[in-house]
Amino acid sequence: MKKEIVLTTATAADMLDYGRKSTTLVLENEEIYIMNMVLPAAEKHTTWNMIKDELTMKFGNIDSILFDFDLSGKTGKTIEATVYCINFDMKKIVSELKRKGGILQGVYPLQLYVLKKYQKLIRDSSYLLAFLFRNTIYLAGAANNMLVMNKIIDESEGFNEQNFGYLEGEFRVIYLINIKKEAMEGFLSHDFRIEELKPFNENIF
Amino acid sequence: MKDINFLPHWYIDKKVNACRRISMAVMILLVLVNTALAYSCISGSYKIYTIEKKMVEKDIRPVESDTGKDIGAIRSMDVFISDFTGKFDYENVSIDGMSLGFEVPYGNKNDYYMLVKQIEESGNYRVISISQTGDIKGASRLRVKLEVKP
Repeated sequence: MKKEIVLTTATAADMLDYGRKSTTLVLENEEIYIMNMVLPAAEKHTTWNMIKDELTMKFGNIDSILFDFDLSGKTGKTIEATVYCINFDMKKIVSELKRKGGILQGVYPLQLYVLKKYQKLIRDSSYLLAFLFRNTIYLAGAANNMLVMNKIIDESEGFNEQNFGYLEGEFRVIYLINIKKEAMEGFLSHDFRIEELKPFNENIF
Repeated sequence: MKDINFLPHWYIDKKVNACRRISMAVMILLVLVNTALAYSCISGSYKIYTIEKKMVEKDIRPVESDTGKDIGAIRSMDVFISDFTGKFDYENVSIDGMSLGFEVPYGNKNDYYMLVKQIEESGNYRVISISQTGDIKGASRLRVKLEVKP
């Protein structure tokens, strides 16, 4: 029996009983807002509180803001933190999950969850990951093993230069999941290395 | 890449607060247990102190071991066996520390003289008592009580 349950926001409500299992929630169609902050150097928990206060000042009420951070630089008495935010109200889902006996261990947007699953197959430190899931194209770009950009495109908008062309200046390699190489070759230059990874379906959850 | 987890901040705060509450409760419990242990330890040592104080006041000494007495009995038995075995048909030997008692057959007065001679020659004993037992008609015996000299 699985010790961990992975659910998307769409399937979380269908679960009848979680049986006190660790639960990971995957958010679909959620774009991550990335920003940089320069903060005084402090312990991790204090930094976390400082970021929380900064976000409160920026957005007012942050009850529906989910965030985490990664340290991107350190200079003397200051640190540079890359803050990742998502606007998603978790209160209803968490109370439902608690009522059914689940223990929330992690909340990941789909693009980060897939990135985490395919981490071992990616050999570069700076790359662009693109995958298709339920008629939506997800893009996640990493530089020096840090998430620097992400984008969600509807499949009907298609693969075109407008959506992908500008990324050529930023990345030299693109990893594709559930997308054929040929779909990209028309508008990307030959310098751009394209690699296809093993496709996944809904069984990933 | 660092594991970026978007757990809600209020959910994390709740977890941290619950952990703090539990650790605080455990700490309070530990302090209480330690206080109880320290109290019982102090009261126990105080009781011992008062008992010792009373003993000193009343000049009560702990009971000495009776090991010396046991060694005395063994020594008395050794001395008795080396002096009397083969010379007298002794019976009913009883030893209590340094004092011993036994019975020998008494036919005539020579038996008595022989016994006294043996006791005097060995020089190991102090005579406590000598008494005659048995019927006048039947076989008579001498009951001897001696004390082994230190």
